[in-house]
Amino acid sequence: MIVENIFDEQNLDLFIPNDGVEFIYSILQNLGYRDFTTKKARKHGLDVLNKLFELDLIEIFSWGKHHDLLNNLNLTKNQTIKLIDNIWFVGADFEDFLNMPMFRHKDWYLKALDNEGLTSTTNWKTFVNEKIGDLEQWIEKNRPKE
Amino acid sequence: MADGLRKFHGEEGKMMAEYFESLISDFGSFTTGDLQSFYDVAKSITESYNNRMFDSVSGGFIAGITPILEIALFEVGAPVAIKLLKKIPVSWVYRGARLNNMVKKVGLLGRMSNSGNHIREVVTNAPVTKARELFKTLTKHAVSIKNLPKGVVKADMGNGNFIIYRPITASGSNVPATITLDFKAAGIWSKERHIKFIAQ
Repeated sequence: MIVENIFDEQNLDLFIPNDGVEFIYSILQNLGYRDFTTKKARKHGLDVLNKLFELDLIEIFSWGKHHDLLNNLNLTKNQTIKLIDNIWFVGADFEDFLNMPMFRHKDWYLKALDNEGLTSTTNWKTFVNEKIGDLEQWIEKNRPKE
Repeated sequence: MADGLRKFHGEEGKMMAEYFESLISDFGSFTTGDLQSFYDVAKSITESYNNRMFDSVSGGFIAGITPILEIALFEVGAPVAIKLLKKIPVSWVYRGARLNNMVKKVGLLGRMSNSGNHIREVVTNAPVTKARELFKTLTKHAVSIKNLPKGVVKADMGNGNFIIYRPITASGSNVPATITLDFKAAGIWSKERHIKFIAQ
């Protein structure tokens, strides 16, 4: 596993509502990758996806070309990650990701940001600095408790 | 206006004149308001050409494209927008410098999203129709066009540049269409630029 804190400042764009995680390439771009095809990018992307699922921050929006087959299955987070691992082949590039799983942030997260006053045109970094502060703590405070 | 453009503004003025004239046959189907909007834009483009003649010969053509795109996307209804976009000739979007200039203008349409400038938001009526027509206009000179699953269409614009239309997005149900301009190879942007069409 690539060890990092996904809340580090350089990863902040991962948390932009929906756009930050929409496609696998969105996630890789927000992690700083320009070449999406490497083993390292894939491993890093999968680790980050795993973390985002663990935090209950994201869910599958579409399974891409496998959507009709997988959409109605009741999958655990581990099963979801394993399926993504199977679908995402080494060497996949921008066009390939258009057919692969898409993600969205969960409603609780989007609503909590709405409540803080975020709009689609608010500058994200300024918003986090001025309204949220420590994003990790804010997420912990706002996410539904099991 | 077309005569003046043709006489005094060289090849680019001629292209703009031909565009204006190609629309004349359709004016009967414009509403009075649409016609007035179009006339105002055409007048302003012609004035822009005339003003530029005194300081610089070139530049009027590219400056003229933006108001045409803006009127199509923001000011008129879908039927007129389709006509305005369909009549844009292939010569305006020849791969290379012409297309690159057009793409730069398209990549600045609308407003910047909270993600930054690489995602632009175009709030408009009939977003799917207008996005689709804009995609068709920009890809008139594509090397190849490929249909992908889920309604995604990818146009190869040559030399590693691509334009992609997709009717699916996780951004929300009010964002039914997106055009992605992948012109990293042309050195226009370092990231793909996404134009999200948002229902008004």
